[in-house]
Amino acid sequence: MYSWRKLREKLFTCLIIALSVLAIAPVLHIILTVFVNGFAVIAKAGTSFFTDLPPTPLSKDVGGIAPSIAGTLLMTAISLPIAVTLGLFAAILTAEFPSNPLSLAVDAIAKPLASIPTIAVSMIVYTLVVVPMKSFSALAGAVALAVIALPYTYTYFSTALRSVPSVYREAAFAIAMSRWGAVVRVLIPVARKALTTGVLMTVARVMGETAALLFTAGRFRTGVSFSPTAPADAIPLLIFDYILSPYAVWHQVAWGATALLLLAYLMVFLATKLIVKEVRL
Amino acid sequence: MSLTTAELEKLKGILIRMAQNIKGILQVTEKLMSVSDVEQRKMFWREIENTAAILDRIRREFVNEVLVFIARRQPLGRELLASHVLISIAYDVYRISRYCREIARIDSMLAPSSGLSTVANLSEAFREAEKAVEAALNDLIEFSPKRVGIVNEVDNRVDEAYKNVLLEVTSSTTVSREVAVKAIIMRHIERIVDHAQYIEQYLSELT
Amino acid sequence: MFAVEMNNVSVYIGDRQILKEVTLRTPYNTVFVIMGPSGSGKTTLLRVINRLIDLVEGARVEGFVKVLNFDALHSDPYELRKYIGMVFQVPNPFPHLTIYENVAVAAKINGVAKSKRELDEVVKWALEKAMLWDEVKDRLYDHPHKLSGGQRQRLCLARALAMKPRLLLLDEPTANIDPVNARKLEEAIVSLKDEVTVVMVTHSPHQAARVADYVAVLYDGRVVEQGPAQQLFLRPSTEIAQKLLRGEI
Repeated sequence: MYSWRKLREKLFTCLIIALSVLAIAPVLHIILTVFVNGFAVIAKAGTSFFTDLPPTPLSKDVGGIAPSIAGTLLMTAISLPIAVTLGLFAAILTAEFPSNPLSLAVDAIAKPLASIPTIAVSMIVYTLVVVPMKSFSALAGAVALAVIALPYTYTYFSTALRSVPSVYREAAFAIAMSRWGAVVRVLIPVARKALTTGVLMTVARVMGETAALLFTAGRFRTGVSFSPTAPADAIPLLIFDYILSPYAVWHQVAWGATALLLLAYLMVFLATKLIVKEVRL
Repeated sequence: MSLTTAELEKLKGILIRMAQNIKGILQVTEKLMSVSDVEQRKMFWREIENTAAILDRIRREFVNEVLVFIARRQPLGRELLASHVLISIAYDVYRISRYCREIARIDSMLAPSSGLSTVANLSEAFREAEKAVEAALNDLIEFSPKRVGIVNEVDNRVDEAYKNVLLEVTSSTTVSREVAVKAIIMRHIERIVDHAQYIEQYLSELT
Repeated sequence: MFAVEMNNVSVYIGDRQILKEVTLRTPYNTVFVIMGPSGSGKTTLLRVINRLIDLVEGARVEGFVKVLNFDALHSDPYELRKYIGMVFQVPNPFPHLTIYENVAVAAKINGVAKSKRELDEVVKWALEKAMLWDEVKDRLYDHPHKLSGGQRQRLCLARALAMKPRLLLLDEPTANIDPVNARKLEEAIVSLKDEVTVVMVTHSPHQAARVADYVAVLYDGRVVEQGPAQQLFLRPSTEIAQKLLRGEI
């Protein structure tokens, strides 16, 4: 009996390990493939990968993806503050006044908004921003990204704020803090780790979004532009276009861009781990 | 029944058994007032002395037990009062036995030529006191002051008798040995009734 | 004059009536203990006093409540709370602030201290009053998670005191801490009554007996008995109070 029990325990452990490996194997495979293929390209191109324009289809040179990097940075920089600010205030509203009709409405809208196909958002923004402006623009792309990111930021933030034990809210009120004071001095600081994680998840989401930009950003790859009203490119957009093309050199550029995007993700997550200290309850 | 209540009941039981002892000591003391044979009286003195000593020991141990109960159970409200009442009544019971011992001592000093039996009206007053103590002990068993009326009545009568003896003592310039002895014994009897009355008072505090 | 005066106070949460026509009077500078079995409405009663009841969804308060000089139910709760400190059942020092900041924040918000020097003094005073100073004076800039549960609760008491309140509400403050710390907290409470009126909730009759000047017995939302501690602990007039003292409810 005893040995059977031990054996069973061993078997169970092995099963768990095997299944876990199976679960993460594809992820590891992707990361490895991307890095192996991508860094080979980046190494070949050198620093010009970050500063040059993309190559022509028949060029021997790999060139660079400078317009896409600039576009991604610009659109992230515009859309992130919009999504974070609106998301945070909506989250504060629903956390502080859960039974307010507006809060109920926000809560009810957030979920379906997250499940709208991003390409549909792109279409809507096209009619609302691109058509009146008569041109694709980084601004239109950023608006589309903000709309897509908003339900996510809201959900992250409201989960973070609601996870703060109510005893701290009570303590804040008991020392005569105002509602706003309790939010700013207690609720947000206690939830800071989860809130920051939410912001970074949004950054990741925005950087990797492709479909939202299809009809909004325009694919401006012939120069580096930081103007919000001018057309712009984004790294995922470039990857999408180039990987579907028949040209070998563009496939190489796509691998390099993918590796760069993945590296950016990893750095962002590493940074949060190192910088933001968890509040220990 | 909770542990606190059960332990309190046990302590009451000990006190009631202790109190039964003074019934015996009172009966023996009463006999001193009618018997003149010295040999018989010697036996009574010894019995009274022994019982009083035992009651003293039981009382000390009993008080310790009640204190342990208080420390352990930390009673509040009626239980706390009851603990206090138990200790107090144990003291009253002990005092009654001490007065009997005093009476026996006086009798032994009068021996062999004389004795309490020669003093008039003593045994009558003592029987009154016995009645009061008996009533108080019965109330103790029931833990309620039902017979407080009887005890108060006896107290009034004994008090009156004691006052009369005192008047007798103070009204003449010289006092006979008989009157002096009577005064002292009457004082002790009066005190015994007082303690019976205290028991009733403690019991009425609980209600 | 009373620090807290309640007349016919009823509290409903949804359809349930939590407090039923509660009437009580707390004299100034005393320790007033509200005693009752769990679920009798003690905590709710306390929260009516500083209007934390407002945070409870669907709560409705009826009757008249006078706290210090406020008509408590019709005053600005934020203004009212400036004069009322509170310690909760579970120690809840702010986890993101240091020991020093936890105490200082209460003083700052209520304008008790203006300069840094004044603030230092108030923090020291409050920690001393809460009998915690000696244990934390060398680590004021640690975070409270490094303290034991009992120390945390005394830190909460210090935080409440740093407001220089006139009324101190304690909601079973020793329920979740060890006996030694509980004893220290009780000593602190008793020593405080020269400066504040203390209203404390407890289900332990022995704790009530140790600290109380006045006691109210709450049962099923009603005050069944109230009076000076001595009377209540020796001669309770109701069967419910007697049962509570015996630990039977």
